[in-house]
Amino acid sequence: MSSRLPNMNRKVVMANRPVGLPKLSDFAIVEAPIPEPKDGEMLVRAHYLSADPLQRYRMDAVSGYGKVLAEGDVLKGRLVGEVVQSRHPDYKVGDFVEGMLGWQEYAISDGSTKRAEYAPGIARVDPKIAPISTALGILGFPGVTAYFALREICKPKAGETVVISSAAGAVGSLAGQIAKIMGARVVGLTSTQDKIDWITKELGFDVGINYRTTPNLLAALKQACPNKIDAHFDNVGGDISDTILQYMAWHSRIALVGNMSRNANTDRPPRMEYQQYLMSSRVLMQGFIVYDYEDRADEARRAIAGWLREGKIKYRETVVDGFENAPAAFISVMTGGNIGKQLVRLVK
Amino acid sequence: MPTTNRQILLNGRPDGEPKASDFKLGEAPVPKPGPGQFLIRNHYLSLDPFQRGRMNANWRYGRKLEIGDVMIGSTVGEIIESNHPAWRTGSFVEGLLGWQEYALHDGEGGRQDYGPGLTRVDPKVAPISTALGVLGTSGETAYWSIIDVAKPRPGDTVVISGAAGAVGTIAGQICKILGARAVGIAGSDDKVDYITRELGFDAGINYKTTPNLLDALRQHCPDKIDVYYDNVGGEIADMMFRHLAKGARYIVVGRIANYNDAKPRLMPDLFPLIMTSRAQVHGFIVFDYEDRIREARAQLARWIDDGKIKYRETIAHGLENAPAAFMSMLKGGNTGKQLVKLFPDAR
Repeated sequence: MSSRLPNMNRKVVMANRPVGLPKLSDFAIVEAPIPEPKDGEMLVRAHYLSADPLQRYRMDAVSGYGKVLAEGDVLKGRLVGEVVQSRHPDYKVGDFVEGMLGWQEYAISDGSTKRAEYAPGIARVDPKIAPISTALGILGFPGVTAYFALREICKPKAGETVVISSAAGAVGSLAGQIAKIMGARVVGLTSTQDKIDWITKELGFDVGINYRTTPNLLAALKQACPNKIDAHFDNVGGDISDTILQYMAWHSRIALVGNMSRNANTDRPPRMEYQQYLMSSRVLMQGFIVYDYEDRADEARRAIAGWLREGKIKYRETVVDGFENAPAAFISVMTGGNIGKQLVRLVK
Repeated sequence: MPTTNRQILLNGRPDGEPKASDFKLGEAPVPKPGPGQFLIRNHYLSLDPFQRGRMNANWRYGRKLEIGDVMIGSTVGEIIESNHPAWRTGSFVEGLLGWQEYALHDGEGGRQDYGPGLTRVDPKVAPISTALGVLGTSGETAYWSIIDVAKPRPGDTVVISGAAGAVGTIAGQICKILGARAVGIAGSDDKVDYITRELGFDAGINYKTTPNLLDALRQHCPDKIDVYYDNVGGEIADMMFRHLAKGARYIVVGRIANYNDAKPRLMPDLFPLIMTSRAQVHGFIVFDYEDRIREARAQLARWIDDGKIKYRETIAHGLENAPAAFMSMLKGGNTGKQLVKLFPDAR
C-alpha cells in the first residue's frame, strides 16, 4: 500500500467500452482524494470487492435493465467494508456494511437501504455470524438469488431432477445444495474436472457434466436424467440452454437467472425458437431478478445461515489479493476461472 | 347405405408450406361395424394448425403420420349403424376420426393427448359444428388458458395474436368479460374490423400492413403488455418481448408461424428481456384440462346464450376441398373456425 498516498482513494473505472469479453485495457485505476462524509453520511473502507458476471451488463452501451456506464465512470460493483468515519446517527466507526458502492477503496454512503435496480443502498453485516466476505456470497445477493429462484420458480419436489448450469459458481453451487436439501436429484453443468469433483464429492450433487468436453450434451443429459428434467436453474443461456430445453419433462420449470454465455459475445448469437418445446412439454419459464425479493432477503439469509451451522451446505471463495488485481479477477469470472464466489481482498 | 368412403391421405411430406400434391383423395369401402362397433357419418371436419405438424417426419408430440395415412383431424358426425348398446343410431359424436366421410368406432378410449375417444354432442344445445369450435377444443383452449393461466385482471392489457382465428376470437371475448383490455393482431383489415366492431376488442393491429409493429404496440398498449396470448409464434412473438410489462404472462397456445419449419427457427436472444421483465412464459396444452371439459363447455354455452360471446365459422364444402381449405387456413384465410362441410345435407 506504500505505492499511493495515504489520503488518496483508488477506483476502478471503465476506460473503454468493452467489445465482447473485456480486456485489461478496458479498465483503468485512477486516484482521487478520499471523500469527506457530510452530515448524515459515512465513509466506508472496502475490505472485499465482489466480482460478478452481472457487472458486464452495465458496460454495454445499451442495457435492457438499469443505467449503463459511461467511459470514465467507476465500475458498478458490490463491496463489504468497515465504517471508518461516520456522521450518520445509526452507524458508528467499526460497523460493517455491504452494498453497491462501486469498485473503490473508500466510498461514501448516506445509509440508504434502497437496493433495487443497482441503487447504492447498504445492509448491515454482523461479523459474528460468519466471515464478512460471506455478505457478498452465500449470505449476500448470490445466496438470496439461489434461495428464491430455486424455491419460488424451480420448486423441486423430492425425487425430481434439477439441472443447474454454472454449477460451481457462487449461485449455482448453493442452488444445487438447497435442491439436495429439498430432496431433489441434482445434475450440475460446469467447465472443469476440478469443479465437477467439488460439486459431486464435496457438495453432494448427484452428477456433474463438463459441458466443454462432453461430445454430445443432449446425450449426456439423457444419461444423467433418465426421467427428464423437472427444473432448470439457468445461469448461462445460449446453446447450453437450448439443448436443455429439448429435454424438459412435462410441467417442468425453467428459472432464467443469468445469461453468462452472452457476456463474452458482442453480437449475441441467435437462440433456437423455444415455443414448441415449452408448449409440447407445458413448461413454465420465468425470469428472475433478485431485487424483487429484497424485502424477504432475511428469510433466505436465516435459512442459509442455519444450514451452514448444521453443516448441510458448504461454500467456497476464490480470493485475489490487491486492489490493482480487481479487473483481472472480473475477467476471470467471465471465463469461469472461479470456483464459488470470486472476491478481491483489499484488507488482510 | 353408402358403399364408398372418401378419404384424404398424406401423399408427401411438405417442405415448408403444403402443396396440393402433398394430399391425395382416396376411396375405400364403407366399413361394416362388427360386434360392439358403430359406424359414423361425418358431417363436419375441423381444420387446425396442429395437423400441419403431424405431416412432418420429425414430429415429436403424439403420433406422426406416415405416407398413405388418412390425415388426422377432428370431425363431428352421426351414428348411422350401431352394434353397441350405449351408442345409438341417430346420436351425434365428436372425435379424432380423420379426414374421411365415414369412420368406425367402438366407443373406447380417452381424449387426452389426441386420444381416440369420442365426446357426445347434443344437437339441441347448439349447431353440431360448434362441437369442433367454440364448444369444442378451440373454445376449451381459449377458456382454460385465459381463466386458469393468463388470469387477466380488470384493466390488464392482453395482446392476442391470431386474434381472428378459432381460439383467438374466443380468448379475446373472455378477456373482455373479465374486464381486461383486448388488443388483437390479425392479418387483414376485414379481420381487424370483425374483432373490434363485432367482438368488442379494444384495438386491432393488421400486422401485414403496419409499418412498425412495435410502434403500433406502444400506441395501443400505453401501459405495456400484461398478457401476451400467442397463437402464432415467429417474429410477431419476438416483438412482444420488447414491450412486456413487469411480471407479464406469456401463454404459448399455438405457433402457426412455425409449423412449416423443418427445424426450429433461430431467433434473437431475447431471454434477457424475459429476465428483466420477470415474465412467466407458459406452454399450454388443452389436454391437461380434459377432466374439466364440461365446465368449460357449460360456461361458454351460457355466454353464447347471453350474447356475450359470438363466433364465426369459415366453411368449405366437400371433402375434396379440404386440402385447399387447409392450405388457406394455414395462411390465415379463415375468420373464426375453419370447417369443411362434408355433405350437402349435413346439419
